[in-house]
Amino acid sequence: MGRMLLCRNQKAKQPYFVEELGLNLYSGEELSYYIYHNALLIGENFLDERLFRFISQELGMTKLEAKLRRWADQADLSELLLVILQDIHYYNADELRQFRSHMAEVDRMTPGQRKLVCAEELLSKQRYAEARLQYERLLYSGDSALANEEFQGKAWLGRGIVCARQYDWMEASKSLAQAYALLPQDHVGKMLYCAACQLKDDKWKKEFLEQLEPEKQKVWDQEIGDAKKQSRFLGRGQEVSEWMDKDNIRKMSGLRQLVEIWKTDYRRHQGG
Amino acid sequence: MQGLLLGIDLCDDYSQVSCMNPLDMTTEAITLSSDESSCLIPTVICKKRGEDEWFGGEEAYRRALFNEGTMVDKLVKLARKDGSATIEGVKYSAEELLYRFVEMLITMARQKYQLEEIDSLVFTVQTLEGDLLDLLVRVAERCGVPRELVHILNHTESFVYYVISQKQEVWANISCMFDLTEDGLHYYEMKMIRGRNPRIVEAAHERMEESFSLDLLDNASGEHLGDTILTACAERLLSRKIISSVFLTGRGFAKTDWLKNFLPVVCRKRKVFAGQHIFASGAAYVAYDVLQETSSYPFICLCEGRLQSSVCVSAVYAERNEKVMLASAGTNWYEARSRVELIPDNMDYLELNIISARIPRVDKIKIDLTEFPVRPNKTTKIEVIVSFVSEDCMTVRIIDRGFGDLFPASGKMIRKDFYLS
Repeated sequence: MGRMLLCRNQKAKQPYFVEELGLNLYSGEELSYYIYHNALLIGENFLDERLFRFISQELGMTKLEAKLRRWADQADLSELLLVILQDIHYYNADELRQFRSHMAEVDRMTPGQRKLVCAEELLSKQRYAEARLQYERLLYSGDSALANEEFQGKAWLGRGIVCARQYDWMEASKSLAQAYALLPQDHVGKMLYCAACQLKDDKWKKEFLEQLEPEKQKVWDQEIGDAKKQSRFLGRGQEVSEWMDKDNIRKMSGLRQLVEIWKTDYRRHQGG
Repeated sequence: MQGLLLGIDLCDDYSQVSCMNPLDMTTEAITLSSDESSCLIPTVICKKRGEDEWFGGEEAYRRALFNEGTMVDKLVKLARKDGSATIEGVKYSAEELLYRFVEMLITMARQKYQLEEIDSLVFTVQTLEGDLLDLLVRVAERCGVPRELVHILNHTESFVYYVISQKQEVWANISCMFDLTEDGLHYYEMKMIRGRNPRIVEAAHERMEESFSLDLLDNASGEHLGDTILTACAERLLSRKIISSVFLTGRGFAKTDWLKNFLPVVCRKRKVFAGQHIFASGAAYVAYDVLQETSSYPFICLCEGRLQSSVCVSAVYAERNEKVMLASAGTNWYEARSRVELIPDNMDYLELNIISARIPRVDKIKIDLTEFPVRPNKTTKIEVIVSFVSEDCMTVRIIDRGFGDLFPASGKMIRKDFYLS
């Protein structure tokens, strides 16, 4: 059954800036949401003076601040995050139980597994620069988990996807080739084919494509061609076509705005 | 006394000013002389010819009579219709003219008590209308009274506060009042409804059709006719009712010797009071009460201009169900404005509960929220603003506030108007 949650806190005048996501948090509810959905990205240094000041001065939760200061050196990070969630009352008992079990699962992970999940989390949030860094830290760490082929394949696949999203086709092709060698699955091969096709250097392009079966390449080529045709009506293509229907003045200003958004996204994806 | 606590009764014929003395909890009418009848100040303003000098009240009449200036009367009516007056080729808005008149009233009070500061100012007018309320607040601000210190009542409310401020025996049962002015005959009635917590006072006002001009009372036969009309009204209005007190006010009751038949009817087993500053005194009592932490009037007043129902929304905080009151029955409609921020949790509508103060009934109003952008659950904050354009017309505005930078606000607003029966 649905219900309405009452917001008691006023919007913060000085928001809390989250560097990992590049955005501001203005309320207790937003802080709760960030913790709940990004617990993996939160490191020990999260509980710092800046957070304490935000909680006491902006959210007016001086008791919570005192509690966190008292327990900061004694309790686990996950326990302290749970205290914040409990005191803000944005999540109900069931949701907090889920969070607790999720954190317990995370605590049971090896450092390598944790790095991989964290990198995947960043990838899903389109924080490509941070995700790439995380994948690389894992892949070049010599972590024992990398001995597992599937695990290592997933890490190379993730890095390949991130590099592709950053239009770094050479690095994407290299990573995807590594991933395909460890995880010889069609969807990985198709990604490698896509990335390799973007390469301008024919020597490298040939070298990567040689790793893929010619019959499959024909099928993927067809699929990619269809997808290109479809892309006009989906995602950014759709956004553009909506503006193209407007009059000249609106069309130009709308397209200019779109380009600005894309530029911002591009810079963000490149870690700018 | 830190500052003045003033009640000002603004009528088209006469206005009155009353000042509350918190030491002995009495009100005092501010008069132009020692004669009580002089507490009636004609609501007129006169500009001296060729000079920027203004006079109000009797002085305005005198100046106009001696052709020393141009007089404007019926200032409240002029303000209600947002009118203007042209004096010596210059157009003056009703607001400007009313400001000059009110400033004169306030100056009278300041001079009498030798106090500049005003702690609270309550206007009382026959009926409340949105534009007039705004105008009066602006006028008060121009007179140096900040808007948060200004309140406005209608005559029915002033009557209720005046009566309740008297000894309980006066209002143990029904109290009523006849107000006879140039504007006509008005009848007010109030009763305390027993056995309800908080207590409820029901009050009503009726403008009588059996009205007559006060010029009628200039001769004996006219007085007899007026007495006959009033007697018929009283017999009709007061019969079969347990009435504790009857109040007579207005210039028509300044003298009572002509009420040969009327008085025996109203005085039958009842206390009868005749006085001239009931509305202004009621307003002055409120001027004091609004400054207190706890009201001396712990009751819900149901009358014209007051909300007949409470409006609340059910919400959860810290896993506890709470009723968030957005408007309380008995509040002046123009002061009943509130806002609350909510986050729908698997809800695509907002449900408001309308709780009648008169009868045990709760109506539910549902407002669809599907117009707002689709986002993950619990990531849309809505701001709900409830306000009123009259005692029975509520406006609900719901604004999409998004969820910070995580899910930016669209700024979309849903506006719905409801008539509350």
